[in-house]
Amino acid sequence: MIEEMSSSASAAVDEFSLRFSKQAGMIYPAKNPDEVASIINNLIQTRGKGDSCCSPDIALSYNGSRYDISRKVNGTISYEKLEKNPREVMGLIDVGITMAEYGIAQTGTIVDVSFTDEHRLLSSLTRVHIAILEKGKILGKLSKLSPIMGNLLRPESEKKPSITFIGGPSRTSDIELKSVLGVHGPHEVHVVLI
Amino acid sequence: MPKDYTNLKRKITAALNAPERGKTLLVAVKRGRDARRDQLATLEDPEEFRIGIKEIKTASIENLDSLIETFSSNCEKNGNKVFFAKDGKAVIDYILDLANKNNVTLIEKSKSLTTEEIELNHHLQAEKKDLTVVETDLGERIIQLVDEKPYHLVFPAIHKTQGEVAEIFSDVTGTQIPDDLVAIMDAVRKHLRPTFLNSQLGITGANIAVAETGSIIVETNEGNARLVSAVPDIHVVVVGMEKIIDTWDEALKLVMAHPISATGTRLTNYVSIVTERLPLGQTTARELHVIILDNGRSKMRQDPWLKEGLNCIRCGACMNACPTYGVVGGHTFGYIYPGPIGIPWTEEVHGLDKASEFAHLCISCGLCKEICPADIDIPMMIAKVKEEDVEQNGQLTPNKILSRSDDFARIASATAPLSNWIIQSRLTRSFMDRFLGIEKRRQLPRFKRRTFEKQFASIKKQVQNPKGKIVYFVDLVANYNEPELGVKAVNLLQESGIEIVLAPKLKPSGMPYISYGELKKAKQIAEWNVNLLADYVEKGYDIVATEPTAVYCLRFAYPKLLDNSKKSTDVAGRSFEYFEYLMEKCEQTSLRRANNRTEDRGTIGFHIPCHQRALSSGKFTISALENAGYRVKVIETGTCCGMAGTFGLKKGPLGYDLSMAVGKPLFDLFNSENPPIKIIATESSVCTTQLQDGTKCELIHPLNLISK
Repeated sequence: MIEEMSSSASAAVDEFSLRFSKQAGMIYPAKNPDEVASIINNLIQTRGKGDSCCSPDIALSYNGSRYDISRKVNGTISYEKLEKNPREVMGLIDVGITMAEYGIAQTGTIVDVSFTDEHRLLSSLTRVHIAILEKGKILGKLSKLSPIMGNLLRPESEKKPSITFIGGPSRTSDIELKSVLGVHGPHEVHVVLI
Repeated sequence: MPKDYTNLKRKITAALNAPERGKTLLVAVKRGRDARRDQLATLEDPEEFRIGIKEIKTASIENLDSLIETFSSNCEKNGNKVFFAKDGKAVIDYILDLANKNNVTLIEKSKSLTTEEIELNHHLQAEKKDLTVVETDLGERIIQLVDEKPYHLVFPAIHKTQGEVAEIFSDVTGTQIPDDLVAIMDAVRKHLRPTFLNSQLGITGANIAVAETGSIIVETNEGNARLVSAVPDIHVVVVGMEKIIDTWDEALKLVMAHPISATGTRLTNYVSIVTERLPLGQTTARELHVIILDNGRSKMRQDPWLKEGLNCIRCGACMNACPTYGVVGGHTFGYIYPGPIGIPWTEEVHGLDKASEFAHLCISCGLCKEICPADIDIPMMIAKVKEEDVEQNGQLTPNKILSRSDDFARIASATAPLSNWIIQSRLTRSFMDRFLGIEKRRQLPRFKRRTFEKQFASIKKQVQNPKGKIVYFVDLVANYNEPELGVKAVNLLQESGIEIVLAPKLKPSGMPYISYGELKKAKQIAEWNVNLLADYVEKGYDIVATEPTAVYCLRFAYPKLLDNSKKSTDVAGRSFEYFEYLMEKCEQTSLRRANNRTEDRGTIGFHIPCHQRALSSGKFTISALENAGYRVKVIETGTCCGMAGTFGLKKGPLGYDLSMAVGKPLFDLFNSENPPIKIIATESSVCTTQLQDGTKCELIHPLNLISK
């Protein structure tokens, strides 16, 4: 039974990776949290053209310990600074780093859950978006999200997040149906898979 | 004096005279159709997917009152303000009030057809002079800058070339932007960035509103709705009341249905779900207003036919399938809502006068229903709009004549061959062209004096222990023009052990009455034919027709016209295409035995008539032809050949000219086949005429090929 689950989970990871890549997203498998941080720092260096900012409190459980990724990522603008003055600071950030809550294999999508709008802007106004996704959070079909949505957004909850399904870089085909990336939102979306 | 649609004809002619724009449009709609088809093919059960969408939407519209209540209540519990607007003016007043109270001078918007419907931008800026409203979707921004309406539901600026777009943004930014896509994107990004960061109020539409949690879903590929709903302190959502559904289960199905049908992708790039207003930095006093718009939708919901329009998920697929839309585009085929579904929507929200300006571009091919992910009976809704137009503005002369072609055929047949000489003479054709509006360049069929009905008694055989019993539904062509075709059809069935009868006094299908908006007459014919045929069905007879349109009427149009009466559904359930019956029901027919001919009779082209697509897409006919030794190559553009019943017989832009323009891509395909196609097989008599006129090929009915 365990083997069966693990093979279906692995199939979900493969399908997610395939679909997300087809949608012009980039996938980077990482073996451990240190590698996650290293990949992200490398991406900031190689792909970034300006400041970067990381979502706070990104923690990964690994071998029974919690790893605070946010502290290991070399963002040049602190999240506190963004929180204090989002309108001015947001325009400066070139690379945003966030944690994806889920992945959907069927559609090659990551799911962003944000409780503030400055957090949402890290994945929408930046030129480069880097997201961390745990393989165990990849669901097979979109319909699997239904109870999760109902629960996260139930009217009785004190705080309800904004949720975004992200399928890759911002794109448009509005001119002669030619597909082009990065019209308003990110030109690049990188997912580091652990 | 009936309305003559001068303005519409002028626009059609202008579209036909702009071949470059036409080419872009054709590529666009074809790509839309192909991408959708390819994506559907990857689903486990595409038909179940379609049925699922229809069920969700139908149930939602049925329960709309309670859904609105639940949605509003949950939305308010989330701390949002909900306003129910009965019309566009109420929306405009509400937003103006908000803008005035909050000293708003800059509004940003993401794409919303609902706000286009009420011409929100125009009214806001006219009423508040210091207000600037900026569209942020690229296509919408382009048409806003040139003050045009959407050309296509999903791709509003598809008619603008890259060079034109570069010029538009050069003008607005004051910087010369090269004719290069990446350069244009960089310029657009720079041009809109200050708007994103500084707007005080953001307006979005909503693709879906979920009652269960009071949430709004906005789908964009560009990601602009995320910015519009995140930065400004006031976010206003304008949502048509028909977008409200019950649960997240349903919502997630629709979230997939939109992109699959619209762009052929599995999910829109950014699907934003907004439930309550989030803080931005230190600012927590931020507002979310949800305006639920009626604007004619309640009235639409009361109409048994038009309420189906509320099931529309705004994917634009009907536009991609529509043959005439693909030639003339949304500025001719539309007011604000373009394309087939735009006709009933325009009639309901903008009035009959606006809808009648383009309703007659519908040629009743039925392809919009075939492609619609919610299976909306768009053709019959359009027929109803045409009916209202005809009642108010009168019927065009050629439409009157062609609707009554059975009377004409009876007289012409009775007086043949003299009638043929008269009809085919240049003088008569010129007269018909000039005074009756029947195009003189179009071939007209010849009439036979000895009709099929007259011959039937002599060919009818007493079949011992019949394997089946059928009523042969004799269409006009098989009776008056090509009775030998009917004779072959009957002989082949009799040889296969089928007993055949004719139903005396059966009338032709009446499809032209539907096409030209004379639904009362169409209903009379449906009632008459169904009453006659139901008696036979009760006695164990099936109904078989050689003309696909006749089967289409029996199976789909009659039940709709007769409110799905038991008799009409009984008859529909027992109506078959000729080859469907032959291949599926006749155990003895030689054609059922696969590979019974060792002789290779060569390759023939095959054309699927539009109405046959709704039936079997020709698969039984193809199978029969293959079993008879032919190699069959289906050649199609994915849309109509352009003839569309009697539409292509009419003179001018709203007839022959448009008909031939629609058919041209298909003609080119047939004419450019290598090795060349010499013979085209098709079962539709009118498609035969069109392909004879447009290609170099010989047209032969499959029955004639098989019995060769």
